[in-house]
Amino acid sequence: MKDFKISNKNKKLIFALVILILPIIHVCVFYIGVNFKQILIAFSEYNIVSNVYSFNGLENFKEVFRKMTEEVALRSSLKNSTIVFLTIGGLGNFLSLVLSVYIYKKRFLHGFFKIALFLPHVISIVVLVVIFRFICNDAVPYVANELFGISMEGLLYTDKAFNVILFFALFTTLGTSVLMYSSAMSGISESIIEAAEIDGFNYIQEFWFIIIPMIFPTIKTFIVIAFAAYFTNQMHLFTFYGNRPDNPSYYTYGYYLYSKVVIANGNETTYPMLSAMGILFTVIIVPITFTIKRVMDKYGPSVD
Amino acid sequence: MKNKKFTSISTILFVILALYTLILAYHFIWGLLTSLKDYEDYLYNPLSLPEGGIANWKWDNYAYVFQKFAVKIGGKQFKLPEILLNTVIYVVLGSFICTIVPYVVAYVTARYNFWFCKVINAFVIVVIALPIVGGTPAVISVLNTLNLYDSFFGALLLKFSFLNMYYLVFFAAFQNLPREYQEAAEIDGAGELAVMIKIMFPMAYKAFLTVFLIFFVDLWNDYQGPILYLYSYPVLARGVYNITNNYAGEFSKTPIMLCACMMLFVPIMIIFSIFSKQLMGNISMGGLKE
Repeated sequence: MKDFKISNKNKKLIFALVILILPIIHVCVFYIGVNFKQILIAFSEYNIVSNVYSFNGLENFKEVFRKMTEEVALRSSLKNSTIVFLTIGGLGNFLSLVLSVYIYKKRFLHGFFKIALFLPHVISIVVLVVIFRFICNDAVPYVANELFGISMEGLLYTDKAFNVILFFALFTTLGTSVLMYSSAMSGISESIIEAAEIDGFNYIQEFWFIIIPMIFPTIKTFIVIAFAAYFTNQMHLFTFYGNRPDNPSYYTYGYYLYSKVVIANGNETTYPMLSAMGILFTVIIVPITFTIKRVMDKYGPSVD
Repeated sequence: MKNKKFTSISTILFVILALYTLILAYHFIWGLLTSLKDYEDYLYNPLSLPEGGIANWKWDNYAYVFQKFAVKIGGKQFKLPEILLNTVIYVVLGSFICTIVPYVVAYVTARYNFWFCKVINAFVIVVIALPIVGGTPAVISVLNTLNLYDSFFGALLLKFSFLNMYYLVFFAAFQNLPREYQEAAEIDGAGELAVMIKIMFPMAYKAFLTVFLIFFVDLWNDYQGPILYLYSYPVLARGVYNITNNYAGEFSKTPIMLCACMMLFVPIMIIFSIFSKQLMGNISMGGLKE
C-alpha cells in the first residue's frame, strides 16, 4: 500500500485555500452579490404583499429624474453637496496642508496640538453635535445679549444654520487631514530640506517646491477621496436633525440617501428608487474620480 | 531675515492651531460643567459655573441618568444594563472581526506566492478605489433574504470583510517580515498554522493592536450602523442619539442630556489616554511607522 504524502507546496496551497475560503465567500455575497442585487433592484419594483421584486424597466430611473427636478430636498442637494465638496474637499484640504507643516516642523506645542487635532476623530460626533448645538442656540445668544445688548435667536434657528453646520463639519474633519499630511511629510528626507535652506529657499518656496511634490501622492489620495465622497457626504446633518431637517432645503445627497433608508426601516418599497439613484450617482462619480486621478498622475508635480 | 519671515508664518499657524484647540477644549469643559448644573441655573446663565462648591454641584444628575437612561423601540423599553451588553457585544466582537479577517487574509496573500494571492491583492486595491454609492438598500435586502436583518449575527457578519485599507496596512507589515524565522520554524517541523499563529502573528501584533483600537473607537461611536442593521438592539451611541434628539421628560433638560453624552465620552477618553500612542501612531500604506 502506497503512503499518501502531500508535498510541501500542496500543504501550503491547502492551508491558503482553507484560510481564504470564508472571506472569499463573504466577498461573493456581500460585495459582488450586493452590487448585483443593487442593479437588479434598480430595474424592479417591490410588491409589499408578495415580497417579490418584478422587472419594471427604467421606471425607477424616470422617478429619480422626476424627483431631482421636483423634490425640494434633491434640488437643494445639488447646490449643498457642491458647497460641502468645495469647502471640505477644497478649502479643508488646503488648510490642512498649511497647518500640517507646523506639526511636521515640530514647532512650539506641536505635540499638544497633535492630540487636540486627533480628538474629534476619537470623540463621538453625537457628543460634539449636542454640545455645539447648545453653545450655538443658548450660549451665543446669551453672550450677544449680555455683552452687546443684541437680542438674537440661536444660530441653528436662523437662515444661516446651514453655514453654521458647514463650519462645524469643516472644524471636525480638519484634524485628521492635518495629522495624515504631517505623517506623510515626516517621510521627507532631512537632507533635502537642509539643501533647500542652503540654496536660500524661503518658507513658501520650501512648501511649494519641496513639500508639495514630495507628499503629492497623499494629496492626490485626499483629493480623489473628496471627489468620491461627493454623493455620500452627509455633513453630519442626520446627527443634527434626524430624519427631517428644520429647513426642507437642508439636504445633501448623502444625507438624503441615508435618511430615506432609515425611514424605510427594512421595508423595501422605496429601495428600487434609492438603488436606481445610487447607480446613477455611481455612474457619474466613478469616471470623474478615475479621470481626476489620471490627470493628477499625468500633470501633478513630480519628485524630480 | 529668512528666519524672521518664517517665525511670523509660524506665529500665524500657531494662533490658528491655538484657536482651534481652545474652541475644542471650551466645548468639553463647558459640556462637563453644564452637566453638573441645575436646569434653572442653566436657563438663567448658560455660561456660569455650577453653583456652590464642587461638593454642591449636581452630581446626582449622573445618578439620575444611570438609573433612568432608557430607549424605547417599538413597544419595548431598553434599560442601561441591556444597552451596555449590546454595546459590548457589538463593539468588542465587531472590532475583533473587523481586524482579524483582513489580518489573516493579508498574511496569506503577503507570504504565499500563489496566483490567486495576487488576484485578491489587486481586487482589494480596485475595490478601495471604486466609489459605489447607494448600496445600503441592497445590503438590507440581502440580509432580509438570508433572514439576518436586524440581528447581531447579521450585523457582525457584515464586519467580516477584508475589503478596506487596513488589509493594505497588514499586507505591507507581513511582507516586510523576514523569512528566516518562518524557514527556521518549518525546518523544526512547524506546520503552516503553527508558523502563522506562533511566529508571524506575534511579529506583527503592533499593527493588529493599532487597527483593533481604531475599530474599537469607531464602533463605540457608531450609531448610524446600529440604526440600520441592529434596530431592535440599541447600543449606547444610538441610545444617546435617541435621547438627545427626542427631548422627552427630564432628558429634555440640557444638564441631563449632557450627562448622557458624558457616558459616551468619558470611557473613550480613558481608552484614548491609555492608548494614545497606538491610536495616533503613524499608519501608512507602507505599514506602521514606530
